Amino acid sequence: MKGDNIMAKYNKEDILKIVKEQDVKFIRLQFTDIFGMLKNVAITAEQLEKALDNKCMFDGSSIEGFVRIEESDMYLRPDPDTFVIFPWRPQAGKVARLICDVYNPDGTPFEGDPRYVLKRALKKANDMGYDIFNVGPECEFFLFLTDNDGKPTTVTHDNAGYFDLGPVDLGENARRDMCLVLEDMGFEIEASHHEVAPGQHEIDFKYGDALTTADSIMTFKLVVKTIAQRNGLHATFMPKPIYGINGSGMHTNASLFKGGKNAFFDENDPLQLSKEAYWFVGGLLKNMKSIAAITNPVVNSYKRLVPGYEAPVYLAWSARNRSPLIRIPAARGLATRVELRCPDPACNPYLEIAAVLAAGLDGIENKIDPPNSTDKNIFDMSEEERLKEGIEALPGSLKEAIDVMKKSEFARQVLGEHIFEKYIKAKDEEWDNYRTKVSEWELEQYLTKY
Amino acid sequence: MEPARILVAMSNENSTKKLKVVLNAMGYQVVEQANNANDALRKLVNLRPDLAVMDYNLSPQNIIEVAKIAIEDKLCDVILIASSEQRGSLEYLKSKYDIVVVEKPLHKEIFLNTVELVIKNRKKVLALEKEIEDLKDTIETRKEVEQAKGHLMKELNLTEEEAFRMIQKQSMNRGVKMKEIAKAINLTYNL
Repeated sequence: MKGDNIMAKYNKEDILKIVKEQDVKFIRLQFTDIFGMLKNVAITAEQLEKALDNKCMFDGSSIEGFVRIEESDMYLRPDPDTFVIFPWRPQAGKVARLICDVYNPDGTPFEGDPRYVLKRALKKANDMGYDIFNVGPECEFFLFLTDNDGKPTTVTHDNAGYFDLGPVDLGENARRDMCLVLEDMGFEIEASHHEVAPGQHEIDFKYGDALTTADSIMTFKLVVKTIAQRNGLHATFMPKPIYGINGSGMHTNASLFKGGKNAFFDENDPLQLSKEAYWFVGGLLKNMKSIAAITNPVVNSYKRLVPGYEAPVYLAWSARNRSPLIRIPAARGLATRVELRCPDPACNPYLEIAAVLAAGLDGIENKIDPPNSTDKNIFDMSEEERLKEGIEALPGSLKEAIDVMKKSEFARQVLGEHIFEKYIKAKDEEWDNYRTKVSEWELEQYLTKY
Repeated sequence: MEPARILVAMSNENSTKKLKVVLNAMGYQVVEQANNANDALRKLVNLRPDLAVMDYNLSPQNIIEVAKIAIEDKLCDVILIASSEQRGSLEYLKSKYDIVVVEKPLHKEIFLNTVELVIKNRKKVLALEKEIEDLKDTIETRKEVEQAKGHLMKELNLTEEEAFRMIQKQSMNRGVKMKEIAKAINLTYNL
């Protein structure tokens, strides 16, 4: 029932009651691995009480990046407020989910749980006096046609000659279905539209506190992929699936609140921004290269961060331009916020938000003034001009990003030793795998010529 | 015979053409054809025909998933065409999902009878489902209005008739259903 799904504060008894009344058959205990992949342990309604008592265990060694075989028993502790029933395919038996924190058998939070990394970063914000870190994501994705066997292609509806079906296109219908399902699950959809590139769409939902938003991004991706599939399409959050058209980003809007007031707003400043807002930007710019491997985590991410497609390339900020790395949207008062435009939706939302928060807090703590805002078009400047203005560039590849991150004490602090080591190792392997493969481009360029 | 819109998706062109001719001759409207299971799914989502006639061999990996989605998401009814060997493994679809499985080679009369029955049944079920929805709405409305009347009678010292009239007037003046007015009243007094 719709009313039951709206984000509410549930306790154990509420959940058991709803599961019984709604005849829910299965519950998925969800968590996220360090690469941002949604994992789950499925239990039946009979096992639910045990799970809600935090007694549900699973083998951590089966999850990549988690642990070695010797340390494998992990506990799942469901967060009751994340309880929701999936609105699709009720005939097969209703399925609900609970997002969980991962704990060690000794009752301590598991170091390799990305949700814990975010909670740790939020605690630091609390210690510094901030009650809430509000985050609003703008997530883009592509919808491609699937072939006869259900495998994705890179053909979009717009190119496939579906115009004979009528004015409302496939992508629009699928996107509308996605919004309806998201609303059914408690999301407040702010905007939903077709993006610049053919087959590309964007759905924005209302900002919320960081932890809820990170959970919501994971849920969002699941819903988008599921509903796309049920519409005969494949949704992908790959940053740059097709060369020559815009890629998919996940712009991240952020603001800190203290005592019910937006700490970024100061009506007496010429831009109406507080010192903390400026320092937040300063911290972000200072640490950006160290966390690029988190905000832009895959080889393909860096194919998007090139000039000409509205994606940022240089470390600069502006309250006037629309395409810098960091943009200050015009809204003020409670809606004052900083927008980081480089992250892409392939990132792990818990790690990305934690990294952004930590970078901003570093700026505030150390009173890091940002460089002057860049209101000119950086892409129009020559190399010399750019260097003269002190404008550096984002890493040009995953390899560059990882090399900077390896040397970054800041990144190590944010992620914690466990995830830091595992993440770098995995990314080194990913790069090596990519580097050693022979690509289509190489064959095209060299096979005939040489 | 009830008119109906049908999508045909067979694994070869000739079968599709033949089926189209046969169905059109009976007065059905073949709105589209597909030679690919996911193409069929996309067309079902966007055209919402009454019935999809699909060949199991179109995509053995995928066609069952497409058929299930059509039923679960209430896109249309489904007739699957399969060989007698394949039919055995598809029995469960009949009971759990109401998907009709027809054996190859197709016998014209039997096939058309099956189509007619499925369409007739579909119309009946849709009509019943609508009636149920309407009845549910009526019960809900009655429940809310009774409660709201109770609140008004108690708080504003009205008779039952006056309370009902008040809700009715608000509903007419605002162009909002009586159920919504009643809900708003209940919410206010329950705060």
